Amino acid sequence: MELLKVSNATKRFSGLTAVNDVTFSVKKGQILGIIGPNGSGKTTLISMISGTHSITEGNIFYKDLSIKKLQPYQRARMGIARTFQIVKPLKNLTVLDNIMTAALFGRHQMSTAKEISLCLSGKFSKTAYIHTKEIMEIAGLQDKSNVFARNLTLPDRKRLEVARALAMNPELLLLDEVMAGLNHKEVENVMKLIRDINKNGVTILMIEHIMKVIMGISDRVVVMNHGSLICDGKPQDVANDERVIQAYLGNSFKNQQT
Amino acid sequence: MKAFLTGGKQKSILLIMAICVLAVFPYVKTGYIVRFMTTLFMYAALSQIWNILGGFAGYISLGLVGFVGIGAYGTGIIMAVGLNMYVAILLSGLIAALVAMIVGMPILRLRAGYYSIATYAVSFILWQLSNNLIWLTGGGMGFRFKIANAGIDRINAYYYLNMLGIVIIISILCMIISKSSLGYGLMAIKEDEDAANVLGINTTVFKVVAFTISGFFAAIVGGIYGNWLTFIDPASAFDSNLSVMVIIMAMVGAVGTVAGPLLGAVLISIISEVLWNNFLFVHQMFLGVILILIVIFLPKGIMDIFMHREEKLSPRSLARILGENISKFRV
Repeated sequence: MELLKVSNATKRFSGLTAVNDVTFSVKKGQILGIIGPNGSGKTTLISMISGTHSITEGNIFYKDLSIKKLQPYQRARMGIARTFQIVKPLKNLTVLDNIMTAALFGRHQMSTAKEISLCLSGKFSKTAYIHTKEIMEIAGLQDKSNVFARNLTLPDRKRLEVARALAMNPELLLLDEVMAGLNHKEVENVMKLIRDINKNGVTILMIEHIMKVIMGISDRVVVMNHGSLICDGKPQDVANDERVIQAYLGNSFKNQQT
Repeated sequence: MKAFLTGGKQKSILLIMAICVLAVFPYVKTGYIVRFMTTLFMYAALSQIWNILGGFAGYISLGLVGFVGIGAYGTGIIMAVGLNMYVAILLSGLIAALVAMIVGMPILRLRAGYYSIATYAVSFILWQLSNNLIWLTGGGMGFRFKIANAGIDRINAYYYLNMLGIVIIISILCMIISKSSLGYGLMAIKEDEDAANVLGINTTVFKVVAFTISGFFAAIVGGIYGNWLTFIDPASAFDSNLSVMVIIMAMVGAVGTVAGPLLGAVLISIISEVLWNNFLFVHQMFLGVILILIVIFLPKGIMDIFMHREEKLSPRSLARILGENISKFRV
């Protein structure tokens, strides 16, 4: 079953076309990698799916429903969670409160009336708290629960970003370069984390520059260049595709492979 | 004060005792001090109300007085029809809440400074309305409440207790909010509104709910205030100095905490009272200097001394905190 379908999506920032006529789909349970040079429109694509950017032309379907007119919070409630490449922790809240916020609001279906009653209920949700504890365990942040997010190191901020997205209990997780700036060991850890998340039935769409990661864990890879999709296929096929080597990987990568 | 945050058992007993002492106070002492305390409570209550949106969500309103004015005039007008004071206060609270909801929906889409300007404009519009709807408000001539037929001390004690009650109610409400999903949502909005939205928070609804709550309670305080003064006019009921004082108090105490605004209101009221007593003509100047010093040394508010510090409070640790803050200060 296709969980997400992006059809002819285009995004223009006044004169600049950041994403041009992109079409692809993600099956439930897949890990889809997106690669491409800097400025090729990968993050804009993710922003359009999560709703932080509006879509200029085309449409996006999630579970066969068009979501292009929905607000980010509505998409979050439907089960789409994202991380930001430039991390956006809630700086003056502790790690626990950061994840707690996500756990309280994540995937829920609510009417406005119910929402207002939720606002006023004043209940400190116990289930959300237990869920938060679990997520901190998974993300390896359990020792830092009372640390303020502003005091975290970059790897921990990235971890927090993933943890927060996870706490929302998503069905589709959009990861935007969560491994940039991490060292070798940390990359291994996060790779394992992503595999585990995927095993629990979460569909993942990830942008990554580290080819080892992309080749290692994605089921399928799409390649973007200058806002257009230039290749879509299995990791091995993509890595050997002439256009991809030209645009992104470079000839040295080809030599490495053989 | 800290019991508000930590909820320790001993501390809450201490707090309840303090409330009891405050409650019997107007029967022991009378006269000016009681009136001073009533004003202090009004500031504390309004500061706390401002804190709901201004402190938790970082939406700095410059127009809180608008709702106080609605409360004062609304209560007076409804009472003139012949209704009981509390019914009138409640009704005017509901009217203010409705106004807040309607006004809030468009202006809460604005961010940072633009929102502040809009709230200021709203309070200004309300002021002009009260000035010009002469058949309803009496216009610039002011509006007279019925004066209760009782001794002056009893009247003073009565409004003192009413104000004390509203401070307690609002503080409890703030405590509940800070631990509820509304509080979490508002705090997330303060930190990063886009991130909050992506986390599944309907930011507009959250802000409007907070704005409506603050409108409702500000009007209730206004209703009590009007009855206490027995005479209001547009310039005093919609005095924007009040909006600013309330913000100063919350910021001196610490925004986004429950104890902060209360502490700030007590501190600033007492300081300005002492200054006013001793230096009548230049008291504003001294107050200004003190505020500047507080902002430089304790930019996060007085509560910064008590919060998130592992070590016990001592002159040494205090000096260290002040030193840290001043070292961060840049001209």
